[in-house]
Order: sequence, then C-alpha cells, then structure tokens
Amino acid sequence: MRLRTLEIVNFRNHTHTVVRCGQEVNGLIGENGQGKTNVLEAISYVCLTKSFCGTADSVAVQVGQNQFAVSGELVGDSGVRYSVGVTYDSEIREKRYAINGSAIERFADVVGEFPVVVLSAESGSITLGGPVDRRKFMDFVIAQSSRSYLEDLLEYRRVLRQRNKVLMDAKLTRRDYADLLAIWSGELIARGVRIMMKRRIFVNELQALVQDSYRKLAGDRETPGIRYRPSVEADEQENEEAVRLRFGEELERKKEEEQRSAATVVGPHRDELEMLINGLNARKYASQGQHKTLLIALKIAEFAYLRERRNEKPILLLDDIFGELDTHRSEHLLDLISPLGQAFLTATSEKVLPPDINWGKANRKFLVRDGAVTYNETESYNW
Amino acid sequence: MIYTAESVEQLTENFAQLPGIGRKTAHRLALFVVKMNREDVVALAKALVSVKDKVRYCSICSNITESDPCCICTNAKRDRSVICVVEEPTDVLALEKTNEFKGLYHVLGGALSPLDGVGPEDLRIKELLKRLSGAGIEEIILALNPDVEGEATTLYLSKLLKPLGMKVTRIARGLPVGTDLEYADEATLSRALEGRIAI
Repeated sequence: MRLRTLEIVNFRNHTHTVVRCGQEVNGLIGENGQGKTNVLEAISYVCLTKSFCGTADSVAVQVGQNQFAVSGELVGDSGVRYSVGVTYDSEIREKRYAINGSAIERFADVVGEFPVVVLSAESGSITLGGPVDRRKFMDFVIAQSSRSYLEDLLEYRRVLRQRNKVLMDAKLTRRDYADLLAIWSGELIARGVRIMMKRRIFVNELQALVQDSYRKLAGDRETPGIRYRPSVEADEQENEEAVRLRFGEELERKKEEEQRSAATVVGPHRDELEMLINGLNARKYASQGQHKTLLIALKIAEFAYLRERRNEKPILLLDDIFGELDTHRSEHLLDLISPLGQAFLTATSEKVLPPDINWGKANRKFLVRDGAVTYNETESYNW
Repeated sequence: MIYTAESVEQLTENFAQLPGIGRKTAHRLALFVVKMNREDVVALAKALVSVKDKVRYCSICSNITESDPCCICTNAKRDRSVICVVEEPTDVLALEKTNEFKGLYHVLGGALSPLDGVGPEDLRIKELLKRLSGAGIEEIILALNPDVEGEATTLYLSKLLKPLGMKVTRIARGLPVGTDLEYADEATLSRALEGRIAI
C-alpha cells in the first residue's frame, strides 16, 4: 500500500496542504511545532479513520474553524487505486469517511483495509509501560489482520462493561444477581476464549519475526523473546474447550474478590505480553539501548506480520525517532525500510537522518514550516 | 441570540429532540414548515396528536395497536402454537413484511442491558410466561438483535423457557441473501460457519 497524494484542509496548523508523495522514503523536515507530526496524523486519518495518537477528533480541527477535511489517494500493491476522504464537523460532532465516494457507515469496517505501522515517541510504552500498553499493541496488530478479532474485541469490551455493572448493582443493592451474572459470564467467556486463542497464535507467529529482525539490528549476542501470559492458564493452552472450562472455574474461584471490587478480575483484559531479553524481563532488566532495539524489532516484525496476513505492504509512519537512535541502528532501520515499501519520517534536521538516502524520485524531502509543506516542484511526478 | 423568530426556534428545539436529527437538520425542517401550506401543517399536527391519542400497546403481545387486542392476536388465521419473541414493535413490522411467519408475536420492549438500567423486570417477560401457561403453545422463536444485549437476553430467556417443555429456537445469524460469499465480511462469515447446519 502506498499513499500517492495527501490533501489536508483546516487540520491542526495546516490551512491547506497538498503533498505529492514519493514511492519510498518521504522525509518531513522542520523545527518543533511546525506541523510535521500533523501530516503523519492526517495520513493516520486516511488509513485508520482516526489519529494514531488516540486524540479526539475535535482537537484536530484548526483553531477558529469548525470543520476539517483530509483526503488521500492510495495505491494498493496490486495497483488498485482508492480515493479516501475524511471530514469532521465539530458543530454537529460528525465524522464522515468515504472510500471511492461511498460513505462507510461503520468505521470498524475500515480497520485493516489500509494497513499502517506507527513508530513514535509514545511507542516506547510497548516495552517500558504497563501491561495495558502491550495489550493495546497486540490488539492493534491483530485487529488490522483479522476482522473477526476486532468484532470479538469490541463485543468483549461491551460485555465486560455490562458484567461490571451487574457486579456494581449487586454490591450497591445487596440483592442476589447470580442468575444475571451467569448470563454475562457466559457471554464474556464465549468471546474471551476466542480472543485468547487468537492472541496465542499471534504471539507464536510474531516471536520468530521479532527474533529475526532483532538479530539483524544487534547481532547474535542477545536473544529477545515475547511470551503470552493469559489471565486464564489451562493445562492445555491450545485446547479451546479446556480454556473455556478453566475460564469458568477461575470466575467461580474469584467470585468473592469480584463481589468486593465490583469488577471482573479474570479475562483477556488482564492478559500480559511479556518481553524478554536473554530470558530476563525486558521491562525490569533491559538497558535503554536494548529497549530501543527491541521496540524497532517489534515494529519490523509487526510490518512483516501484516504484510504476510493482508498481502499488502503497510505504510510506515516514523515520528521523530531518528534523533533518538544512534547512526548504527538508524542505518539498519533504513536498510530494512527501503525494500519494505513506503515510509514517512519526521526529523528536526536533515543531519539526524541516515546520510545515504538517495533523495530523488522515489525518496522525497519536504520542508515543513508553520503549517506549510514545500518541496521541489520541478521533480517529475508520475507513478 | 435568536436570529429568526421565537416560534421557529421553539420548533427547532422540538425537532432536535427526535432521534437522528441534529440541530442543523432541525432548523432546516422548521424553516420548511414555515413554507408549507396551512392545511398541510394542520394535517401534520393532527397526525402527531392522533398517534399519541389512539395508539397503545396490545394487552396480549405488547405490540403497538389502535384496537386492543391487536389485529395479529385476534386474527383467527394465525398459528397459535408458535410465538416469536422480539425486542421492539419495529421488529414485528420487519418480520411481517416477509409474509413468511404466520404465528403470534411477543414484544419484550428492549433487551437486557445493565448499563442502561434494563433488567429482567423491565422487560415484558412475566407477561410472556403468563401467555405460555395457557395450553397449546408448542414453539418459542427467539428473534432478538444479534448484538451483545440481544444475545444475553436470548440466553436468559432460553434458560427460563426450556424447563417449561416447549421447543425453544433462535433465528440463525449469517450471510445476507443475494451477496456472494467472497464479499461477505470476515466476522459475518465466521459466525455463519459457527452456526452451520447438517444437511
């Protein structure tokens, strides 16, 4: 998947910006606060219907305006073209998303259509943050490759809230809600088991990819690992029926704790994805450099996983990571990018970018200043 | 600040309370009413009031009706051995359009949803059980929405109804008619696989 053109209107500090992208590396260079990340965010709206930062749509509207519009032309690896448009009106709080002119009613239907891999300052929480950050990473990748996983996940969250409300009602009114709780437990288990089975398969597949890319970045001295630690551990983890039974038993065993806390304490919303380096928990024992290498290895693995699953190369969005990396790692990263596909990267100065990028037709350099993007118009543009 | 007229603003407010109508659309509707003939406006107003005055819930099936019991419950040609349980009156309408179902209905008035404060006692479940105590009912079809709440309600009702000895079924969830398999989305397709039947 490649982005051919991007048009941004009244979005953050961009009044009207048109970007004609290069097929491979697109460097957005500018001082802090000039609007580089906003371009990446606009790409995120085109591909995922929302910001990768997880911010509200209303924040993205330019100050003093009440609407933004972002549109882009995407070209699939097979050559199919898609024209995508997103508009948001802050007065009626309505977002519209259309592919080739036809409106998409459910935004969840778009997830995975235009795969994206994001590496930004916030991505650091995958290796450094809490379990919730790693579950988010897992869900984001699996959801882009499996629609039914996303549906299960959305339904699971809904069931979880309903079940917690039953627990809360029981606590407040001191009435017997066992019948109702049993119903919601059934719904929770049905979806929870499907989610856990898919997460297990995903982690197994990602493991090899992470090790492979880590070796390319750091050599053989260190061995990384990722390990799935589900909240429900059955003797036979691959056996769906065994996990289902175990899930029910665990809910029964934690009954009193759930009554006390008025919250569901067992289920995939309590899963952990452990990251290891040489068998040790990376969160506790890894050095700064190891964290960075592991993160990049994870992102490259994510890329390979999505490409394999969707049969489409994802678009890479690299937000301000080159200043953070030493030249050794950044060169390796670029080596990995160029055969990969299209990447958009931001940097405060050209100096921090790997020196051997051959700026020209496939690789384009843009200067971002005060919400305006400029580049050399004389370069040919026909792909 | 009122730029137009107070009565227009008032009507806009009233329209904006309707589901699916935002303020802009409400304003457009209000201005359209200003342009309409007086007779048409009076007819519209009368229709609104008469709906409120005449329509009530059927004392048997809880569907909306002008005569109690409703025309489905009193229709001698309907099959009285089958009751189809739905969430809302609109679902009855949808099923009636198919012209396939000849039994009776029971409208629950929603689905279980603790978050919205809807429990079993807020649905017309007691009324359903009362209907079943009379003889002659052989099958209950649960035709609730295929969302989380509809499914939980289906589960709840099936637990309640199965001990009573009649056949309890639920409608299938799966592929829409007229679409090719290749165009079906993953989630629908996997649910359809899950609910596959022997032939």
